[in-house]
Amino acid sequence: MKDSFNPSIEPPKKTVTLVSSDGYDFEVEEEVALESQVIKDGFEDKAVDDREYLLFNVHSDTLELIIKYCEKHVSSRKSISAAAASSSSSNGEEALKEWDEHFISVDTNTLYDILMAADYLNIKSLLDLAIQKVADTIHGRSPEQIRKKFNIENDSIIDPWASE
Amino acid sequence: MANLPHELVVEILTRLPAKSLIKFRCICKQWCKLTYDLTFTKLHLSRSIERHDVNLLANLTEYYAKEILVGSDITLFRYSNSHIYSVEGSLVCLLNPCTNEYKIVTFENVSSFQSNAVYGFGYDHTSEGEDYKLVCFVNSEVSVYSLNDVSCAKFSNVTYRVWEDSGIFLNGAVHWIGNDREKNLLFRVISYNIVDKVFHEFLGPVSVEESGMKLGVLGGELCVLCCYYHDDIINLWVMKNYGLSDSWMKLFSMEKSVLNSFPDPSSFISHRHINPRPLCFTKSGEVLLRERGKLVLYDPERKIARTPNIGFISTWHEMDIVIHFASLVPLNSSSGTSKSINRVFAFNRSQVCSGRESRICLHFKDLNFQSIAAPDW
Repeated sequence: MKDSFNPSIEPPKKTVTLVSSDGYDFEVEEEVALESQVIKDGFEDKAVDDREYLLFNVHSDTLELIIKYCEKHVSSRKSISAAAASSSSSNGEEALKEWDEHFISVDTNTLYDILMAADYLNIKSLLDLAIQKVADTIHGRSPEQIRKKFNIENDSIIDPWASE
Repeated sequence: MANLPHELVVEILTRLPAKSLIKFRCICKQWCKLTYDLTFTKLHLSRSIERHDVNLLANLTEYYAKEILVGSDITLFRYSNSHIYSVEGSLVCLLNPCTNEYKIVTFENVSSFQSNAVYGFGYDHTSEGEDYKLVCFVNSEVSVYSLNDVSCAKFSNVTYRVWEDSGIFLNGAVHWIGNDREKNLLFRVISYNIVDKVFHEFLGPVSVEESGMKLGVLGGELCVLCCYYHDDIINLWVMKNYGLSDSWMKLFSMEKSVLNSFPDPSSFISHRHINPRPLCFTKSGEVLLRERGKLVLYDPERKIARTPNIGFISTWHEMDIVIHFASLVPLNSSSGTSKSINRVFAFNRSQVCSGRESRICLHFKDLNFQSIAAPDW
């Protein structure tokens, strides 16, 4: 999808630095970082030159994905509202949904990492997306498959109603 | 995934259909425990309702296959949006078709519930525990029975008359088509809010003194299907802003003849008498309608109708078909009112009903109406 704003004519972007648990720095635009409610909550209180966040629970591999997701959502939001303002028809929301679906189609371990990171950073839309993906993955599987796939230990006492 | 925080497990599991959750009780203790937990099950139910995650409940009504509780002669044939219930003598019997848990409450001050009364059933999830309430219209008196407290609140000199055989429960209120004896005879929607304990009336989408309106819920919105004797057109209206009479919007019009082009094994009636009930939307935007012995899918865009093909059900005409939200909320959670324990019985599944084979609950996720396998039980 083509973005309808041109970064070159805007003032230089303010950035913040996100540091992953394995020590990598990621410099991202302020508004991208603000997709995280946790970062947003303490943002105004932090000095401008001290906008660095140590994300102890997010590995660089996951953080890269998270940033990709937030950047996509920030830019899509802009193009959707630009399209709405010029009242031109836009399928931006549908395209974004498709993008989301593609984004979240990952292996179980990556899904788990995204889920935990979205929870930790409190990025609601991503958290919803990941939770729904896990639910969809579970739906229609047998209990044994689910235990295996999600590495759940069978600790259940004999459940009289479980035989159905 | 094994070490997901509890809140995330709750978030994930509340998005699964109730039927899956029952199947998954054997996965681990945590999941099993959750499906019996009041807070979890209430959240699960309210999420299902929010997402319009409806099931189609088909219940055989042939005499020999009726839903009968074992050890009693109670037959259940009334439907709320999550339970099947009946009133008999001074008993109210409530069955959760999803868990097969049931509860019988005796109202000792009621000698006999009237069979000619108009009933409605609602679930008050805001009260401390949770409460199921039966609303009963007899002449100018309305009685509201609380199944938790085994109590009854009466309203006398009610001027509303209501017609629907069973009320439609939505947004905490039971709704019927009716009118006001004292004001005028125009048909309107009458509701009783079981949470706020007040009556409301909304004007219908059109002003008529003729019956022929059927209430339903489509996509979480109250809808009225208007189908008059002398009119060849059926109109379906939805209330876009709940409670605002000026927000009725016509969803579509259809010719009665479209419905009549399907054979109906149960009756040979003139199309004048057609009066279908709207059930639900399908994924592709069709509307599922129930008209006597048949079930019809109507496509408002292409203005065509077809019969759903659900392989293992050859005929619908002896079945009650209702839309239903599968609830795991335990019926016996009202232990706070244990004083009445000798009058309130709650049973768990195995003791339950003989008519089990006669009941089919289809989850809409599995239901595409093209081809569908028999349910796994």
